[in-house]
Amino acid sequence: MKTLYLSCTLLIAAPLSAAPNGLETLESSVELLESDLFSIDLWSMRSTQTLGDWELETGFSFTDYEIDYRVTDFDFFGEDTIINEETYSIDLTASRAIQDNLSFDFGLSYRDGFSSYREVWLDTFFDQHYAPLEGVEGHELYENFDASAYGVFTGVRWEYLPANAIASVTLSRIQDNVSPGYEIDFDGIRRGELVLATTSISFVTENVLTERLRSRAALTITDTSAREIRYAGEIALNAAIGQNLIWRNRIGAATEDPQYDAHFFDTAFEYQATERTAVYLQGRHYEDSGEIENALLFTTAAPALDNDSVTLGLRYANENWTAKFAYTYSESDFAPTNLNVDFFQNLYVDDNWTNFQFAIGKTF
Amino acid sequence: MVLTATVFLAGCETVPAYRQEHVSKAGMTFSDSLTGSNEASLTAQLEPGSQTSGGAQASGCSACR
Repeated sequence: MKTLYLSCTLLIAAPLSAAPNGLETLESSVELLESDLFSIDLWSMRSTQTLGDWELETGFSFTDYEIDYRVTDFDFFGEDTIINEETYSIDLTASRAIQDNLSFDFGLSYRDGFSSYREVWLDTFFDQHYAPLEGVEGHELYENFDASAYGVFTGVRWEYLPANAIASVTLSRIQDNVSPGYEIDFDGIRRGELVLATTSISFVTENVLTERLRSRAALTITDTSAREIRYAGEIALNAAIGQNLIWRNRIGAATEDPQYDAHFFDTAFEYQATERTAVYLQGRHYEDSGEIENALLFTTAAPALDNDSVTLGLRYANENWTAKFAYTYSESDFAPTNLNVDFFQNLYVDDNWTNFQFAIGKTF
Repeated sequence: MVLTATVFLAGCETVPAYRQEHVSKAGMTFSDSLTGSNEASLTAQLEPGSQTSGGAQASGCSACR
């Protein structure tokens, strides 16, 4: 698949000097996230194009999961294995100005495969433990489902103070066809939800506060089937504190009844080293209270998590080309669990992660 | 809180475009593009609660959210 992706990239990149009419930007990136047990590669392409009164944005991505799946000593039904999974996704957004300073967006998205390495790991766990249980009541519910999702969204964007302030509202609906979880007790096997439908509404405003301050605030309200409403928000403030120095700050939080809370903050300094090159250093802290669960015997919910990261990045831009390289080092620390009954201690494992990003783009 | 909201919605002053040299720099803008974003696309893999958009947190667990 990587070969196919690279071939597609070259096919698109080769005629860059003779780009199709209306093509405005073309970007490509690769991102590699790795720890001792997990490896996730993300390859992405994105383009924007003008067609008459419409502006189209198209995105394609491919994610490759490689997991060193290890079972615990007391897991007699599981076995160590190497997991490889691939996920493809595509999205299309169409925008059109409906008045001066007011535009309308409409978009579609589709994903074939899992959206996270945790899902891949848990799918393998359930497959190893429930597929062999033929004859147990409820086993007819077991099936190795494929994960996928499709979504639709629409929104409006209003530049209510020209060149100074923008507000947008976006409404989206996503249907996730998940690989479900299973549980067993004296009544037999039970299966979790097969489909999770999510409706969300987002409010975003971005403002130029002064000649040296730019801000962004976002609030998202999300309603997912069989769950309480989740509220998530973030505020970011960027400050030009010198001729060549920028200070970026962001805080965010999410909450969902009855007991889920998450919050993060990050801060970064960016130095404009030359006319075309800038370097930045970012620190970030994230923590959550652990996933909400009501399992019968053995919980699969992630325990509380702390994650600390530091990023060193390099940005390059000239008249037509932009590029970014970034390296991030992270330390994840999960809250302790009862290791004698925790089948998932090799999934929710304290680990050190590295992330390499490289992105390049051309403006026509 | 009202003051904070007002500042974030309307700014401290209206800054004409010709005086936006500093706030127009690449590092000062907010972007979702692959080269312009300051956040890794895979951040949500490590920090599932930091997503402020997207679909359900489908963990593959029958009881987890």
